[in-house]
Amino acid sequence: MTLEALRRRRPETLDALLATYGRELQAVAYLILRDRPAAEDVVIETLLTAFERAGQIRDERALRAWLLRIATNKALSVRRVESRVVRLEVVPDRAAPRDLAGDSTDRLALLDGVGSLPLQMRAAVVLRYYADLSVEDVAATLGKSPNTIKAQLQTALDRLRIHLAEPLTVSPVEIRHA
Amino acid sequence: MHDNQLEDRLRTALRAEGDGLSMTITAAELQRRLAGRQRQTRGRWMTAIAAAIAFVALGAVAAMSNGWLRLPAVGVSPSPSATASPAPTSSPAPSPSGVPATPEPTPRVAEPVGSAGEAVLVKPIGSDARRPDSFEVTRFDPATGRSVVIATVPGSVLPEDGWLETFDRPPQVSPTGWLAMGFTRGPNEDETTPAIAIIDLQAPDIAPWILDGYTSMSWDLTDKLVVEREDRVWVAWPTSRFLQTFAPVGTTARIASNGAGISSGPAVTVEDSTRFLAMRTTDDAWGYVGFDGAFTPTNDLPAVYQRMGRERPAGADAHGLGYTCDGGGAPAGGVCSLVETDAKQKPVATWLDLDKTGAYDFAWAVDGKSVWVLLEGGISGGSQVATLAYASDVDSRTERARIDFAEGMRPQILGFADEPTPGSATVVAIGDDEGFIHAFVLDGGDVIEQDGTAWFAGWAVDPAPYDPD
Repeated sequence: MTLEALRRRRPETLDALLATYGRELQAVAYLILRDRPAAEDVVIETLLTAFERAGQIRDERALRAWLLRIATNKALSVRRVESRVVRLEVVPDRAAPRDLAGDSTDRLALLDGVGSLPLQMRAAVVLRYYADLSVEDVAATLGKSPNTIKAQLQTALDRLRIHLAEPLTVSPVEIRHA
Repeated sequence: MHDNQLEDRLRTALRAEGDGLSMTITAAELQRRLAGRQRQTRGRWMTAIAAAIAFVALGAVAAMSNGWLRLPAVGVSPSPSATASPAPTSSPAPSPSGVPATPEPTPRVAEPVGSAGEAVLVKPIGSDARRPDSFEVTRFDPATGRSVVIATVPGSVLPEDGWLETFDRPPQVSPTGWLAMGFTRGPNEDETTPAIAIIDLQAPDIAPWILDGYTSMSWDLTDKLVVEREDRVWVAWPTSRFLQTFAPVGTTARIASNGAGISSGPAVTVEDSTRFLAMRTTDDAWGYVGFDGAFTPTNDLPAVYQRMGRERPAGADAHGLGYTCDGGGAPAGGVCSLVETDAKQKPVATWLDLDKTGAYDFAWAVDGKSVWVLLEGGISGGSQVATLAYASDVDSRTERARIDFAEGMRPQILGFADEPTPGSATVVAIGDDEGFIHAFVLDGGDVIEQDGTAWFAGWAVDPAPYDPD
């Protein structure tokens, strides 16, 4: 797939976008939202938006960053204040069957800690430590200054340290705030 | 403090989780959704054309009947105490031809919006949380339960391309009733900028003043709004819609946040927005910066103006308060505590062992030597409990009230109405990390519950300035 083909809105480019960037976008959206159906919706909307607005991209190297930015903003815009009902949601299926009891306690504790961060802080953490963006790129994606992002990331790490000091209480049933 | 080990573990955990997800989105689903969007786009375009035609027609009628918007005064000189060169960067929209161009100053009543101990609450009304139909602004007296509507602000204060995000800061009210509301705007959700709408609650139907690209707001004692944009501090005068920027402080110091939690903005001193608390970048030494950008180090920090009653960035002698975890030998990262540090960032006291008692939030008491904490009280019967406590010293802590929250919420101390003596707060506002009020705690420990649907926007009367020294 080339940027030119994308700009011309050739039908096959949508499939190519999905194949090339779909997994990463899904992971980023899911790690931010902790909600599989919402994450899938974000990915679909991101790819469709990219397909419709590809004319804005001048450089193929910027395509990944652009897609991540769209996906992150869409994930952050999923509102969760309307419903204040607590619901219990089973942790979604993974690609391969996995014995959750055998999973690293440390990993589960970290993920639980990330899930408890405020939404935008969580997004900064995911973009930095999953998508491996530089602080400057994270700042550009979230529309903040690099200093703000540095402070947010430091605060996030501080909170995670505290969280790791607590015993893990989340079992395979994940307590969620809708 | 840099922690490579924690960062590596975090990367590993996130990658294992993210890369392990199965891909269920199909190309067919994408095509189906694309077709649906294209149908919707055609429909919206026709609606937009119809709306444009209607707007032009209405505009012509309004102009002929002289019922146009009142425009505020412009170009009024700032306070003589400001020394930076004026750099007006904002002006109201030009008047349409045929309408008198001389704007009329908005007469205002320069009085507090209510009485001491009353809270100003802003409740979004409507089914669309992103674009409410209106905002109901009330002053509420927790001691009596009396609620009075101050103003009903139309939802149209948000421009057509604007909406409220969960991460937009809760609105804040000024001493005499200007309301600053952060929001997000843009042609679409992929190209957004932050913005602030400043609304006159004494005349809520007048078009608000919109500050594009500005964030991080805090009011000063004379109804000026201090905001940030591109790492610079600006002072906004709502009555004249005039903006003035600080002289750049360069890399010498960074202006401190006022410690008001989720409503935080630049920490303004009581000296009429001419000084801000700041920390020197080289050694985190405390001090303040003036309008000329000069940094003056001192441990005897000037008094900080309060609107929310949480503007307490430092304790007495510039001591700090925060969470810290030592390396320890435990796999999970060691022992975590709420620790007090001195002006040189060295730990001097441990207020809370977080292994034994978790804390949602904390704040210096008025003396800057004792501490308020909002403790984690566990989960009971579908609710999670937050306990407000006052610790006069590291070995003495008294619980004042228990507040129930729905599970999954993150309780916060939103503000103190007044604290005449340390540990004796007239009213404490307790809410969540989005600024919604859930309870008021009176001095005797009575809890006045709220339903969590209105933002706490500040007190009707300023809390006393915070001056722990």
